[in-house]
Amino acid sequence: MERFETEVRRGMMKAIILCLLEQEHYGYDIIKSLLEVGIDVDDGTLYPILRRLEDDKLVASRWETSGPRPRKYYVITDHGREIREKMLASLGSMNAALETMKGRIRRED
Amino acid sequence: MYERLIDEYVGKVTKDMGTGQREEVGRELKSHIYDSAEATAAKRGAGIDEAAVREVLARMLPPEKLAAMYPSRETFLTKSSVWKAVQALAGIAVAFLLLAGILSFVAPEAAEVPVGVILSIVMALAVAIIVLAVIFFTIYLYESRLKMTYEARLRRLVKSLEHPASPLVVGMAIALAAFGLIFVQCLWPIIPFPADFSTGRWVPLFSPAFDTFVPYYTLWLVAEIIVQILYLTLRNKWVPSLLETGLSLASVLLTFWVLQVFPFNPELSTPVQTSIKVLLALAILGTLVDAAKKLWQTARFFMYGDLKNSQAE
Repeated sequence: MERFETEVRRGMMKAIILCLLEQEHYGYDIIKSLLEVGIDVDDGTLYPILRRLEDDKLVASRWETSGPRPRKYYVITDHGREIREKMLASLGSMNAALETMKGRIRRED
Repeated sequence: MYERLIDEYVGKVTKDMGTGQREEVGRELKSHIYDSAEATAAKRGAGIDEAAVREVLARMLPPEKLAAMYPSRETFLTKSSVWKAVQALAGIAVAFLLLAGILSFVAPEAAEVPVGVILSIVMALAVAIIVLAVIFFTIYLYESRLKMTYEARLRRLVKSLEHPASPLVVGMAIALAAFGLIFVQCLWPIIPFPADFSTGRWVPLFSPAFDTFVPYYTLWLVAEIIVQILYLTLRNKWVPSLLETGLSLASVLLTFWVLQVFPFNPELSTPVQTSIKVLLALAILGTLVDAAKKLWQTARFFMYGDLKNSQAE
């Protein structure tokens, strides 16, 4: 069950972060925003995900050094938007299929 | 004081990363820890202190686990054991060439024989390098046809090379066994070998006595091909794994018998014969270790159904 949750969470997390990065955010800011929508991210685990998204050119980044400490800001790229749409469509169809299956189970009960 | 705690944690996360990645990841993680510690301390109405930093670090994943989550910067070249072997062989070849150069320079009149030996070793190493390079690029081309990310391709390749039942490993084992069959059926009488290390005279490697071993090696190689096919067809992988262990032990006995009978050309010089005996003894030792590994692999297949240490994996 734990493994299932990890796998589902990893895929969902990417889609959610891509949605969030329509506006520029830095890491800690993203964690706070995720928490606001009810997603608790383990401290630190967000950064490898952001790194992967950046490697795949789904997000772009820049360093802002004018504040009290240097911060790396991320924002979605055009390619990221394309992928996000595909991810959301895929998640939507999976969700619809899941709802259908749940309906069938209820009827059988 | 808390800066040291942060540096230690970040250092552990980034220690195996390349210079660029290390700096970037370190900077970002430090920034996160400070932000998080500041928020934690603010809840208590205080500024950042050691307790707040410790609290943040305790909430974070162990550094090794976090480091493992970052995308690897390893390339196919740095990861591949085949490539490492090519590098090692090339290094040995260069070392031998340097030695030959020094000998020719220091004692040109006495260096003719040792330099000849060194050059033949270097030639053998060059052949080994070419063979390994061909294997390396064949595997790479095989994997390149897949529409996957580079990193996923690398992981897939390493995983399939580690798993005895993967089609890639089975294919390679069958190809090697097929070559072995050609060797024992047709090639062994004509395999040439230097009679000694000084004159460069070549003679057939085997004596006619090797004919005795041909049916046994043929049987062994056919059994090896069958076992490899069983890996692909049987659901219970422990069966072919156990059979493979048996084949390894049979190979030990067969090599020991070859060592006893020594069906090699008597025209080979004593140093060459001694070298062959040492190689055979090493082969016996290596095959025994391999048999032990395969027995352990059989136990894991039997217990978990696959090469896993536990159900949690």
